[in-house]
Amino acid sequence: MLFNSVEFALFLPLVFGVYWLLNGRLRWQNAWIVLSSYVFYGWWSWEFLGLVALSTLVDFGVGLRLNPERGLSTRQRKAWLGVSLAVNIGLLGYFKYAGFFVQNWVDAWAGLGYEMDASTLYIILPVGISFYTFQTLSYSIDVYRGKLTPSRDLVAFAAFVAFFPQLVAGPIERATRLLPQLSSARKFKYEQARDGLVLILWGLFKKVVVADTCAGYVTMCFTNTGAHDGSTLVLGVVFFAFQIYGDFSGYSDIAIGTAKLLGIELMSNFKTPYFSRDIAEFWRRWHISLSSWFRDYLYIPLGGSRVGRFKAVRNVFAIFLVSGFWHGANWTFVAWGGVHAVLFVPLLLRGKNRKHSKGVVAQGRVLPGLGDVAAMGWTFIMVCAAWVFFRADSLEGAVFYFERMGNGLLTRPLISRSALLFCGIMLLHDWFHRHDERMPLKISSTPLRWLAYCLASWLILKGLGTPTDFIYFQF
Amino acid sequence: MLRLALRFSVFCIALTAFGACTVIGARHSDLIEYWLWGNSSADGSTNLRIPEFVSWAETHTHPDVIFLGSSTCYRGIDPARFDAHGLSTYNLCSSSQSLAASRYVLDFALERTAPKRVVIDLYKGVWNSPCYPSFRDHILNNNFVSDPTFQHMAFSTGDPFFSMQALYFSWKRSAVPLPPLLPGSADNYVGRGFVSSTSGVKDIQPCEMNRSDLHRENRDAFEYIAQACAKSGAELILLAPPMTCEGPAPWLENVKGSAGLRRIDGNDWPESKTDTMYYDDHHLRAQGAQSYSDWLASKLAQK
Repeated sequence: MLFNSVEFALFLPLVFGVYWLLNGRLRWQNAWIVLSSYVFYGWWSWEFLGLVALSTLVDFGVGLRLNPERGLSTRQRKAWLGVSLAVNIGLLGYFKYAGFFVQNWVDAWAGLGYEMDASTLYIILPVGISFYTFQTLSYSIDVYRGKLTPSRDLVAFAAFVAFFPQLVAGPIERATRLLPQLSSARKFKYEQARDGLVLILWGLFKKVVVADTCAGYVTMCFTNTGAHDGSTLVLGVVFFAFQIYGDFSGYSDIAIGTAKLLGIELMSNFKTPYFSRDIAEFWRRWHISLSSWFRDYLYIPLGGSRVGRFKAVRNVFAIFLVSGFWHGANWTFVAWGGVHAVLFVPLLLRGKNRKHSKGVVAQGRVLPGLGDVAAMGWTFIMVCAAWVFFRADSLEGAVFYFERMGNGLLTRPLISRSALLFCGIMLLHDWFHRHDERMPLKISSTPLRWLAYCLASWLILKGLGTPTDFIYFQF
Repeated sequence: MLRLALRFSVFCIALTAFGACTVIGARHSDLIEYWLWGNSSADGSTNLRIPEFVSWAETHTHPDVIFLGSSTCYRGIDPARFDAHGLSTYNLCSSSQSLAASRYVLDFALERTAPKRVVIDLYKGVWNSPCYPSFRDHILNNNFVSDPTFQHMAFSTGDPFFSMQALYFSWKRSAVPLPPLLPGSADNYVGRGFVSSTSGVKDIQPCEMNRSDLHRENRDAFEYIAQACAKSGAELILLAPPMTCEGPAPWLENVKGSAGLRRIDGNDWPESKTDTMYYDDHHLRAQGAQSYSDWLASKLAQK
């Protein structure tokens, strides 16, 4: 079920109403979350519900085995953690990467002159598998590390794994944050629910109005690259930057807002990333739940930056390449991760990767200084250049796009007035909300605020006719 | 909880009031209409094709052929070329017109004429989706939007805003009809639904075979069209448009529910693999459309 669909507009009030009718009966409320989440997921494909259930049962069982009270030896505990890793990464590997590896194997032999039968596996990718497998993995690892007491409540645990607002595209929640909330009584708070509704409205605006408006222009540029001038192609990449931001951060806002309606707080996933002053800051503001996951469960165990220079650089490349590969079984994503690693390493080597780790640009001021503008502009250009790899269908396609961008760069580009206007509105809104992205449409004048609510709702209604998938569903 | 319900109710009332204001605003400002209700466009010439058809149908109550389909059809089939073969024809094709949209256009046509043949141009690119933008084309760019058939078309999508658009433009067009010429199209509307391409010769990129399945809504629409034709006594003919890459169209044989229907494969047209006839891999240039229309007319003239 898509957030931007009529079905969800009917589904959510029903879930909300029954959920709060069950208030005071925690187990029933959690059971209702599980049922709703399975309906939400099964709406897309009920065949893959078994995978969600399998992941739930395995990690719940592993968690119980890892309970310190059982007195298992370190070796036995490692073995049980291995079971969780094998099942979750095995599922991910099979459904997401098997076809890719088989195809590359066949291609490699073909390069050596051996033609193999190319009847490669065609495997359907279950929606959200990259998200919920990572979420359950974090549970097993945290229990193993002793950071979390294993859950004894299967219903609460199943609700944690399948919690529908963030099941298919995140934020990838940590068990240490979400499980305690699901294991304790919730109380309806008007302010929380109101903020949730505003977040949903703003998220839908970003997805339906901004991202979907940009999508047409972007598709035109990337599917028929040879037919356009460089200036149009440059604008195509800029629009893609806004499309993917509107699409993914819009999804996260709807997820966070929906969870708020149910009395649950999810972590922030985006913090105005295009106002970053270097790549390190960008990664502290973009897809935070994934980058912090890789930081905690891959980068730091590898030694992070507190090892020798060579190993620190290796670790940076490891985290960015794996992060790229996580997005999809295609060399384009690996290249995208590689570009970011190349941009990040100089900051690390100069010890400047934490320069902007606190606060926001132009803290306490309305306008940024010239230095900040230049830094933000340069970072945005670098991020856009990397997006070409992310969006292109193949590495050859990305290279061709770069080549064509240099052709007719100074000609007048094709203009999409609506895409320019909506991107401008989103950018302006983000600038004035850069201190707290979780409180969108915060306008002090009540009539103006209500006008903004109505205008946004109207434009969303106008664009809802042909709901399109969220980009991150494919990951 | 009650407070939230009250606040939400107030919001719904405010949104309704806002909607009413946009109607008034759009009535007086093209800019408000453009951004908040939708923009009319001459692309595909639906704004000219439908009114001309209504006039034409008054004098052609029993035409020989009515064409339905997408842009391969309205850019490729010139009804004027059929006159020499003694066939009175009209081209009711429009941009991305899927079978799901064709069923409503056919209803509109059958209310005014009793054609002897209905030819559906089956371009596979519009098979795997109902193509709602095509529905929208008939709502935004059509002075006959208030016709119950087009209203039904909009409401059938289940999209609340689209239904509102149908009501709004129905009201708007009754007061302010679309002018015959709208800005924004480089195409040359010739008449009787045909749009002649102004494109020159281009390098044609190799096209890919589209093997998508027929969408459920299109399948249902096809059954409806077959029944409607049978009921009105019109012969239903399936036509595969010519393309630069596609050979004989075996898929035409596999259209479910089409057993016993006459089929014409546009790829049998002798010039179908001549790149200079096209401006991309499936749209004909003016020269190609003339030659193809002559060939098709001779095929249809055969009993």
